[in-house]
Amino acid sequence: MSKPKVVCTILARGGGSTLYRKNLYPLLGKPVIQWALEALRATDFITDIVVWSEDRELLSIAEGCGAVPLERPRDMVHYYSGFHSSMDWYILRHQMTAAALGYTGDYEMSYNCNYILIRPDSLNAMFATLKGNESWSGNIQAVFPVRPGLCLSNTPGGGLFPFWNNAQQRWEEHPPLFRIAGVGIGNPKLCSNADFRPCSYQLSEEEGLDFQSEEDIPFAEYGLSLRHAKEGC
Amino acid sequence: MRVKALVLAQSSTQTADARWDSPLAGRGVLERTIENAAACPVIDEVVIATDLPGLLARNTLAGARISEIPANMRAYNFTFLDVSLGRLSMERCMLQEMDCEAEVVFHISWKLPLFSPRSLERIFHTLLDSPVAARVLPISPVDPGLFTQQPGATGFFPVWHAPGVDRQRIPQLFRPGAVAVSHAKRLGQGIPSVTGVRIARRELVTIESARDLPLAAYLLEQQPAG
Repeated sequence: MSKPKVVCTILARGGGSTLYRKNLYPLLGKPVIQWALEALRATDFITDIVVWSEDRELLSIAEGCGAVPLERPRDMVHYYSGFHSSMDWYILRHQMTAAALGYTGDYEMSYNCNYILIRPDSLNAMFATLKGNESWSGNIQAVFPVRPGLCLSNTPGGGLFPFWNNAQQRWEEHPPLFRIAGVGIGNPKLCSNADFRPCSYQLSEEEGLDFQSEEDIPFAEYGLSLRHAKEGC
Repeated sequence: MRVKALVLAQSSTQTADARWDSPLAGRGVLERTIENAAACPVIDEVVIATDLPGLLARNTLAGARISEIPANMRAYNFTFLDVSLGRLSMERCMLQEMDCEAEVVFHISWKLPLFSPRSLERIFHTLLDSPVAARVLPISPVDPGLFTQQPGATGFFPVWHAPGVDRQRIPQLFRPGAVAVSHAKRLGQGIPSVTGVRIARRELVTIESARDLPLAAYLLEQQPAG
């Protein structure tokens, strides 16, 4: 049986609402998108990586890392610009990808560069989990745990209000809390099956770092330095 | 006005016994926490509240007095957000028993070695600048998109998420740090107000396990001068 074709797509824009030109931000001297591409290339199941971007610098880095650069229309960059629906984005990107690669993937993977610390072996395990669950699931999401003990701060009067934070119980007694990471893999033939449901793969809390702002820089650099020392990517 | 800092190192926190003396960039974790409190110009005295035998065998550590935590408070869960009468009474009795009462009291977890003297000072001034705050905590933002999962379920149930709503439109959640500064008089009047101050997340890193030590050492090394 031949190896399934898996196409991973990165939607990377040049701007950034939380950190300007975040995907180009140099972490330990290397742009964020390059760290992401190197991690993806170190997996053992991805056939091709496609970078869909309006930014020439990002597309140039993508090409240099062996990914397929696809130029994204400027009016399909901002989610809420009102020019196109997300379905329009999907259809166009799908058509452009198929035309550039000359095939349609058996599996489609989406990867958000913010999740800069996800390790290649976690992605391999995630794909293996999906394959193992294909009798009931057509897609898998990466999730990671979030510790309890949170609060809101915008209550009337500016006071703090506890959220998932019961002082009468120890943290380990709180119901588990998760975030769904922007990394998923799907089998398009199975995803539309109404009887199927998504499955998940749990990452460690450290791998779940969502690189968003300047505050995240030291945490991202620490995690990347560990990964680089262990795995070289 | 007297200002005291109570550094909490209870054995019920599990990691305290094993980690309080773990070396972090040349000094113990607890020692660093005490040094930060002692270097804060608004704090008059630092007291370590503990039931750890290794600490009780000494009288002082890094210049701070060591005092035995009352037996009924050893398993107490200090969360600082809960200002119900019963909890405030227990916390006040503990301060009395330990001879640590003051007009303004800091509670600082032993496992918070990166919280700087400047940030301690900042939450102190926020408390006294406010006409109503009874307690101030440092907070750092937590991304929305949170779910829980029932035992045995494969799916996730949204608890802080709305499909189709941009994350920047979802009310911001925060994680309080393991430190608080309280105004004794205001805590006893009416319904006490607890306020948050945003502090850089790097300062709120806590030592929960051995894995956190290299991260804390890295962050210390990267800390901006001053």
